Amino acid sequence: MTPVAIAMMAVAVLIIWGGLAVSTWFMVTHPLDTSHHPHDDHDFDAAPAQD
Amino acid sequence: MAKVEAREQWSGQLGFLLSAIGSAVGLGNIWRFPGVAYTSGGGAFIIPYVVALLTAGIPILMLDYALGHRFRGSAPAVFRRLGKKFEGLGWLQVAICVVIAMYYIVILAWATSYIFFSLNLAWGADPAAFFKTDFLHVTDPAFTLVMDWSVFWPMLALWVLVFAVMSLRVRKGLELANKIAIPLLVVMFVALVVRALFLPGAADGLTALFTPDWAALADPGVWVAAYTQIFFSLSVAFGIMMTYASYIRPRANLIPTGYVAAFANSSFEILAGIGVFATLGFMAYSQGVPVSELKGITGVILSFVTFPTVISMMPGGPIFGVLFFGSLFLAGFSSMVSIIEVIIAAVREKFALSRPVAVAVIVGFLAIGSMLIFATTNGLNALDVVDNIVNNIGILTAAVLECILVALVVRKLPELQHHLNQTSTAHLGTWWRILVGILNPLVLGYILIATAITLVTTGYDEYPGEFLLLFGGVTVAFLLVASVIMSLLPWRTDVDRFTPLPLIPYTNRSGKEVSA
Repeated sequence: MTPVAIAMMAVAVLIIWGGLAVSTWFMVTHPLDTSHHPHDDHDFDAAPAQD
Repeated sequence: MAKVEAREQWSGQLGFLLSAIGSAVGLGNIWRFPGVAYTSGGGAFIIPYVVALLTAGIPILMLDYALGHRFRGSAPAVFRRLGKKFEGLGWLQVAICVVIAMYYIVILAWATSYIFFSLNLAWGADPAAFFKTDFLHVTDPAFTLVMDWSVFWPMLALWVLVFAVMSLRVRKGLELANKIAIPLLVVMFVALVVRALFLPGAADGLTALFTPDWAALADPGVWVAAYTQIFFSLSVAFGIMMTYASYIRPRANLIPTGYVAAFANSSFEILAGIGVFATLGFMAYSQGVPVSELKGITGVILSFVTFPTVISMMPGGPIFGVLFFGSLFLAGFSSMVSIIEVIIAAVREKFALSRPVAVAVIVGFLAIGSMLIFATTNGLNALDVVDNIVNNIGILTAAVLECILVALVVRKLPELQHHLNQTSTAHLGTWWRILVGILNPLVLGYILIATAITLVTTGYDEYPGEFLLLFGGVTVAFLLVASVIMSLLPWRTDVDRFTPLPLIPYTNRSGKEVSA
């Protein structure tokens, strides 16, 4: 492979696979708070119709 | 008024994430991205590709998530909850899924057959003739009911498999299928890529793919190719992500999950690019020609003509063939079930059907339709035209209308942004509303109009005008008529009795409280 092709392959891999790694890391290290939340009791069908 | 059964839910974040990735990673990742990147600037394509991912792919993916999760319904229910007269847009998206499901299964049937053909290299010395003549019995483009039984039987078997998965509901059907298919797909495809990298000539293939043509960045066509690739690859704006998001429990970390799904989809595309071009490099090396002289480097021909040719050349070809066509099957099947779920969810909610009845009716209808149209000796021609119309006209129209409706007509973007932010540990800024409400309608609208003009003025490929009119025209007519008729039929569930999650204050990343 030519140096420029290697460089561009590295850039592509770094950005896209790096993006996957960073977003996965963020998702795992920033989970939702598991304590009780008002949304847990929400009844979607309880209220009158909306338009 | 009947009430549909309690809404099904994914078992958790992982189940949804794998299913969303399974839907996004499809045939286009393997057979479309590598060729598009190569012909659109090579290594330089990464720039428009990443720009398109960040400005169109991820924002519209988040829009689909927000709509599905906030309004908790199938596509028609979601758009009806935005306003009764907008239900038709939901049915347009469902109709698009009906059309895609009918021809997608045919490609899966081919891939399934080719897994077995790989074992003894059944295509012989001329894979092109084998594919078109011996296997598909392709005739001149014209409507026919002459069945191609070598496609019919695998299709029937696959419809039975689809029926089984869809009958098992969201968790034990869709989610379990994806939890098996996606890890298996990654393992198989990584094995294929590693093997390809050790073939002689692989480096030449990668050099061809990644050598940048910087001048291409000045070509608007390259940017259009990047937006088109990202947009179709992520399976956005035709109901899939909306339906899948409606099965997420009310409290869900939507935004980080969306980023992971989007980057996972693109990561698979990069992997496919490396695997496909390493293999093409070997083909060029074996034939003693430069990679630039190879033909058939994208789509159906890449998979069913070029790859069989390469497989016959390499030591251990049958194993490579099983890995390639097995990967194609897994990627396609996980997308196929997501497409069918859009239709099932919509019809169930509209007509208050139980899941078993809805699955039986819909899979039966799709199976018969797909066989009559695509399991014939005209199947390849019909597929080519219908795929072009439904993607380039149907999905783009649905996407432009979705953005315009939400951003400019009902002006729900601030509400949806708040919804996403209050349910997630990452937050979207005003930039998201600008991208969805202004940039995307302009960019996608431009691509749609330019494509439509080209289709009308120059036709498509070398198909006769009357053939294009028949299959293309019928496809467009079906999409329009289905969306109008289905929205006029009365609902048998109380779709309008719905209250979305209340908007509550949340704390943003800089510690400030954002009120509803």
